[in-house]
Amino acid sequence: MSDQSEHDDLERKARTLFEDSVERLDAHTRSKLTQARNRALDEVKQGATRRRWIWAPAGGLAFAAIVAVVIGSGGLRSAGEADAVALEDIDIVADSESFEMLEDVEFYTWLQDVAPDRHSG
Amino acid sequence: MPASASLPAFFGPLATSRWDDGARTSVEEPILEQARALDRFLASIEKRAFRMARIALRHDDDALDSVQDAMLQLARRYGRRPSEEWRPLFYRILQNRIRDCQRRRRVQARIMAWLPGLKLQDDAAGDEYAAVPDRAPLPPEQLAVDQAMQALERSLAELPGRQQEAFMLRAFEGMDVAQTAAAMGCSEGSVKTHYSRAVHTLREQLGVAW
Repeated sequence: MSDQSEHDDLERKARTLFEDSVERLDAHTRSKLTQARNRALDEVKQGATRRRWIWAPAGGLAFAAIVAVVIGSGGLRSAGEADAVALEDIDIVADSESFEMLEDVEFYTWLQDVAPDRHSG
Repeated sequence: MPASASLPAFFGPLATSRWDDGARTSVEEPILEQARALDRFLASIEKRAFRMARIALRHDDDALDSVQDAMLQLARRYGRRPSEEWRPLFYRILQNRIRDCQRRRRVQARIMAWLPGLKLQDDAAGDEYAAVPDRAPLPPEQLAVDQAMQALERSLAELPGRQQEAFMLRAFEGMDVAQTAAAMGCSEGSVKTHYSRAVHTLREQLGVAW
């Protein structure tokens, strides 16, 4: 038998024995391996969630910047007046308590309509 | 067009996950698909990886720890890499874990040599499965297979580390020379040398009849 065929024979026999031992792995070890795999997969899912939360504040800042630009560039006001109003609007938007005011939009619309009548009356 | 209508397009995945639940599903789908692919990959190799670690370390718990560490490292650091790269990367991490464990043992052995009065905590804890009764007697042919595997394991355990790695990756895992070189972090020429020496030594130790 040549050296190479002896190598091949040994390799083949070793592989067969190895495969047999893998197939007959006990239930306890199989269970431990499954648990280890699940922990690794949790890592992938949690890592993705972490990455999303890392970008969330950046998205919030970008949104605030867009709002500031839109508010700051609108209207026919003078530059100083526009800046003051823009800052005031950002304060309102940033203040969580002010959001309650938005729920009463219909009330304020009505108030605007009736106020001139009241002044004239 | 209302200003909000253009926001999802501007913010990309972040905005679509906020504004549109349907789009949110499409954002998460690649992550779930990646997790499913990694699950399939790890399930396909975990038992073989454990047996290889067990042969190298000759200890069940150490082998399990090494495989678990390798799985976690692969998921954390390389989970987003193409799946074709996972196998050599996984085995590279596993071989590093095995070497770390062997180094720790050598250090512990040196310390124990200096302090012979101490006993390692693991040894003192004992084997929790020692009291579990043995399996039913094996049929003769299975007994012969078991004995042949035990002889192979003993011979493999006596090989130098790199020869052992080269033989297991090539013969057991079926990797070619290039894949083995990637997993071992060495040249293809080194793989051939380690593998050839391993086969010669095993042949001598196991005998022609094996």
